[in-house]
Amino acid sequence: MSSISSISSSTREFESPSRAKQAVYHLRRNPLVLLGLISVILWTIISFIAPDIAPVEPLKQDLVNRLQAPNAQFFMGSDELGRDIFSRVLWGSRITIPAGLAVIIIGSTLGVIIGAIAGYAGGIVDELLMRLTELFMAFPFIILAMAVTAALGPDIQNAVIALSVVWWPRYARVLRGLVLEVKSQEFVEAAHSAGASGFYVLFRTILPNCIAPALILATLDIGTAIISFAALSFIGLGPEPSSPEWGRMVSIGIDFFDQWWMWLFPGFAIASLVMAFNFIGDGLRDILDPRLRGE
Amino acid sequence: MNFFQYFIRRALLVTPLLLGITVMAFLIANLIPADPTIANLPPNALNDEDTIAAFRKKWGLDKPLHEQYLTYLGNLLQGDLGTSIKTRKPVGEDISRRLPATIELATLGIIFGIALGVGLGLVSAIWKDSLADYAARIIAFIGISFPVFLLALIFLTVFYAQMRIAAGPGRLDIIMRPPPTVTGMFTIDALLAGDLKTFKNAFDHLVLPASTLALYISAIISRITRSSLLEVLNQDYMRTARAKGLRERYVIGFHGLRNSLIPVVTVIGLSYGNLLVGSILIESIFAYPGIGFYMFRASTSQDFPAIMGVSLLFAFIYVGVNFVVDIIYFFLDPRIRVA
Repeated sequence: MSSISSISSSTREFESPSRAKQAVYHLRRNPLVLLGLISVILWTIISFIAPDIAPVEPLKQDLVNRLQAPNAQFFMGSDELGRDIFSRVLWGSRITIPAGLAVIIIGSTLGVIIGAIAGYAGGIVDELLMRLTELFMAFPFIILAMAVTAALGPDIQNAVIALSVVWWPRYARVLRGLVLEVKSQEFVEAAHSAGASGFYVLFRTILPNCIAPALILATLDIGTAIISFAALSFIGLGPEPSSPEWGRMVSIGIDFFDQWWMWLFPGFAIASLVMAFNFIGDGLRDILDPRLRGE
Repeated sequence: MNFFQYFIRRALLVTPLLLGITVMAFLIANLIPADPTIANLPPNALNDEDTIAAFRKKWGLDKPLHEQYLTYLGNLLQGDLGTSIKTRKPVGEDISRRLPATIELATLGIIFGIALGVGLGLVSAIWKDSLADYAARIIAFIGISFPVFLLALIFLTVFYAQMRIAAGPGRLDIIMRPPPTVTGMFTIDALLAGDLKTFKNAFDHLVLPASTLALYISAIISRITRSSLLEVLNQDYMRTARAKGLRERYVIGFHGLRNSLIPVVTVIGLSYGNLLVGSILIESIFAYPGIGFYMFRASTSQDFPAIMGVSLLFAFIYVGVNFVVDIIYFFLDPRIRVA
């Protein structure tokens, strides 16, 4: 009895540590990931409670106090209409975070479906879909997004649609490769021989085995999506001018170049959020791809 | 495969892509919910029946869609991209007048960017986990995470408005006259005219926007250089090179860097897209009258013909650059020659 328990306790030492333990280990080795996680969580909380914690309504004008440098009343200064920059920056998270996520979700879903169909169907369908993917990739993506937004008319929703339209090709390529790899494995053959339909095999047997890499790619991509949305909106192809959207606020701030607080704080808001996502994405890649750890 | 065969094969792959791009541009242009005559003609021409009829005839708007496309393609082949609503000039003419300015800026930007990116990547790979590595990686993080328009504004405030060590917006000081036009690139034209004062002024005006562009694209280049070089440094042939007594400088410079360059060249080709995006944002902040600024103005004023013209141009340039990248592979990667 005692010998059995001693064996089991000695084998336990060779078991790989639990996932939670691994996560803690990696977080301690990558303080930047932790920093990124904290910032993202903080921004997410802010986006939920902005209406409660913002000192002033984001659209409320106060012409007497216009263009105030940061002071006790206007923590981050005020803009050309006397609106409180601090409140506007807080409110801005309610536009930017959902917009960035929406682009990633729509774009990656579209890409996953197209790539999966191309990889599974093969032949002419594959050829056509992949040429289409290449075509979308030939346009520098912001240019294509600009053309689409200009065609649809500028507002938040159309900016998200435009970015999603240009976002899918990378996912389609990755997914096609993965599906090709999984397709030839034995359990897929087994599903076929058990009489499963092609649709069932693709979506229930093959896809679940390809989803993890797509999720990682999506995490790596959120920062880029946010920065692209801000750029579109900076150009004037996003929300309407009065909106407390960060990119838009920076572009209005250019006309008031010497009132640096007008563009610096919203700019830093974008940078801090994007940097946080990039820290997480970078750390995630290091953790999942041991080759890059250089060990 | 010899070079000629490789070249032809690549060129054959590019042609359908270019045609596809024109189809796509055409379809997007048809996506506009508004009547194309309203989108393309200046408002005062809309009262004029003759103008509208002439416009519809020229672009074949009375014919079915596929015939419209052929007309569009025909006009395109003659360099006709339509007329800008804002400038009221042919888009092709507008573009060709502004293109040299952008080429000048982008070239300097990519030279700075490659130098900075490969340099930072080298430093971080060779002295991995040192203070220099962390500093280089933080610079890369800033380049990736800061919106390029914010970088431009910060550079302009710090180096122009505060420290006064860099020239400000525009291509030349207001009191300077542009050099006689040969290439349209002020620095080169000034040199051709032997006018060193103008050359220096034009170059000074390029430094700040080109540096912003460089920081933006160097971020990706340095990350790829670092990881690619780190992988190469662990290879057996590196140990062999050291074992046979080569100097470290030579081992890294010749055996290391060259073999790690293939992914770097790929990324430089891909970052050309970033360069164009960056040029739109940077030119609009530096009031630099190139294609990017033109695109910015066109987007904010819904100048659709101009937007589509620039989009087509950028897509063609993008395909062209990646074609050149494929050609460079041929020389960098001996496996292609064997295959």
